Amino acid sequence: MPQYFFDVQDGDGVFVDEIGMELPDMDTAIREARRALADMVRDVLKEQSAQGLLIRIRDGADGPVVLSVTLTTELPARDKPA
Amino acid sequence: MASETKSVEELLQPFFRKILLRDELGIEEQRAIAAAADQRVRFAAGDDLVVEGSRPVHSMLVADGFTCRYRLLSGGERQLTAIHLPGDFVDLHSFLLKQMDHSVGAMTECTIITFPHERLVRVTERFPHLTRLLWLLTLLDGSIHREWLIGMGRLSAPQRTAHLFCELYTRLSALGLASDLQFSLPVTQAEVADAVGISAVHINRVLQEMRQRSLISWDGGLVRILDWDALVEAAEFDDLYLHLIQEPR
Repeated sequence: MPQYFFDVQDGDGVFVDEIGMELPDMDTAIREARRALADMVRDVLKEQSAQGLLIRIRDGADGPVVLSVTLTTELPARDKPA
Repeated sequence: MASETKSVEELLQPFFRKILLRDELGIEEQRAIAAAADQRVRFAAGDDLVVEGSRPVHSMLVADGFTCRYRLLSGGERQLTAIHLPGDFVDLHSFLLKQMDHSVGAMTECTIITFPHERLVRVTERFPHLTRLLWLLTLLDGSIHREWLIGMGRLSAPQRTAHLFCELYTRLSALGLASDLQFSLPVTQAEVADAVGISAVHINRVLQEMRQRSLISWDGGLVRILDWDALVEAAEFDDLYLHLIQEPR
């Protein structure tokens, strides 16, 4: 089975995966990355400065495939005092 | 293996130490437990000791190695609900619950001692204090489950991971099986991920951050805690739930 590496980028920096995982194909790797994003988003979004996070899937052949979650805060427009 | 030449009393030493940390254990009580022991069984890492749904006729005690309590979900995901160390009577549950609502698996090669349920019935009929101690052991299982539940619900993944390392070191060092802030943990990252309830990708990032912050290192199956106070603070770890106080029970 091919080896897939999952680098994570978030507010704390870039975490390069040096271990990797043996998975049957890129579709499975993407599913794995989505699961990881779902776990991580819970912790990351609690941090005040969090803008989101990103996983870059690397393998020898395809890719890299990038999955990301972005947090935006939209404040309502306020009437300016006259 | 050395465990094959050891007497039952020797194999039961971690179990006796676990109890002696919290109460006294008379020589008659030690003999009664040793007499109730039946077979010693070796398991390889990855083997199941007991499978969900089964109705065991004996309970199992870990003499050496690590085992875990777990459930498999329909999507193939696995959640550990406890990690057992030498001296843990892992499957005292089946004695009274009868049908297993979870599985117990070997995380490493391990030696197990079996205790036929009918012998445990006789022990509980003759030794009331020892019976309370067995009751205490399942209460300790319950308090550890509560601590994990709180972690799952309220702590972040890095905090839960730090908490697990604090718990394992505290339990192992109390038994005299670890010292100098290091312990053997010959399991995979994926198993730790299953214990703290996160994906294998996430645990890799969490462990890298813990290394970068000089909290722990984990190489070749050896965990070194580099800054105990910082690890405890990160985990909000308080060993009260392990009830490491010797008093009459």
